[in-house]
Amino acid sequence: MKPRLMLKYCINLIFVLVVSSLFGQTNDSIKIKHKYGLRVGIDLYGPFQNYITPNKKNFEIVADYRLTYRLFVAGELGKTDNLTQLDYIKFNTNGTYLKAGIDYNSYQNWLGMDNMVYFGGRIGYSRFSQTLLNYTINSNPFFTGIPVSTPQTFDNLNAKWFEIVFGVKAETLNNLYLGFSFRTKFMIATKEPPNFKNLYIPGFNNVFLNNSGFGFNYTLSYLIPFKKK
Amino acid sequence: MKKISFVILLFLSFCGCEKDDICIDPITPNFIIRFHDILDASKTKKVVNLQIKNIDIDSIYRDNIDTTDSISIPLNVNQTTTTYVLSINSTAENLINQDTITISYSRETIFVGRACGFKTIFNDVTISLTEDGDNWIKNFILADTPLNITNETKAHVKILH
Repeated sequence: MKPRLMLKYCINLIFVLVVSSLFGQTNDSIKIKHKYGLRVGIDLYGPFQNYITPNKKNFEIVADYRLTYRLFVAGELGKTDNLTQLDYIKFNTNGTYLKAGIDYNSYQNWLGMDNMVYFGGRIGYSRFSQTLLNYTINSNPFFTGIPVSTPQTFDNLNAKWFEIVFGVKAETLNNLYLGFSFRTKFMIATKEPPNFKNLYIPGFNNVFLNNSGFGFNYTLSYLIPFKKK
Repeated sequence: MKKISFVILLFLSFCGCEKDDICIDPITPNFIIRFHDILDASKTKKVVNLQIKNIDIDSIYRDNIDTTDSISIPLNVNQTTTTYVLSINSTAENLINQDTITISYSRETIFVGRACGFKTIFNDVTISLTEDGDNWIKNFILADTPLNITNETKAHVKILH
């Protein structure tokens, strides 16, 4: 996502935060009760990215469950079909991923509000296949390189990684939340294809040289409240 | 806590900005030839006004190299042989001497990385000279047997003249 667009989204969300905080001020009850329950939602950034670049498809379901006022168990489940076009290689990555971990809410809400500014951690696991669609040997330009375009598919690949999450969730309507999060990923282990490399992994995104990655999501989720305490 | 969160946010936003799509790793190696003296193979001997021309694609790779004792020439990754004409004294019409060398090899494709893609290395390399009765090239000495060209750190063949 272009930084400018991202900024626009952030500003929108901050606006939403401010507006919702104004509404929150009418609550005068002394006894503070917080909503506990299962919050499920979807990532809107994947479909948006797919709209901009049709070759990148990512669908993600997010969920979290409140343990205490500050602590949540959280996870994501997703499916990716992503084409990567580089200078000398073109390949497609197809697979699913699951992430599980915790979120810690560092935001002290005003009365009656239920927003989050949180950080957390995840363990991610993905199973996927890579299809090397074509490549051109990188050699002296004196001889024009002829592209090799016999697709090669590498199945049964997998990866495990750790994520640090920083994010915001704001209750915009009753029980309806908008949120975004940034994630930095660190590879733990990955099964590499022979004579090729997992340059893109579902849930991890681009694998940089030092085996790190970066991610972003923008979620719309709904809280199914179980109890208030 | 808010300050810490802000610092983490800043840290996270710059983490993704690593640039690694510029190819800096070694790619397909060139074939490195060193010219040595036929009378004393341990000494290098320069060639004068060398022209290097590829026959397969009928194109001049280097023209009129003043004096040099080594050249680095690309091998064709689309074929298993590459043929060059090495002409010494190429600027003097009455002194020019053209010798044709053919390099044969098997190819192996090696993955390098995101930015560089794949490279070729050349295995079981052999080199032959087309006899024309007046060859300036007298003999070849391969650096290894069998000769595999995997990098450009040293000369792969000595040409004695």
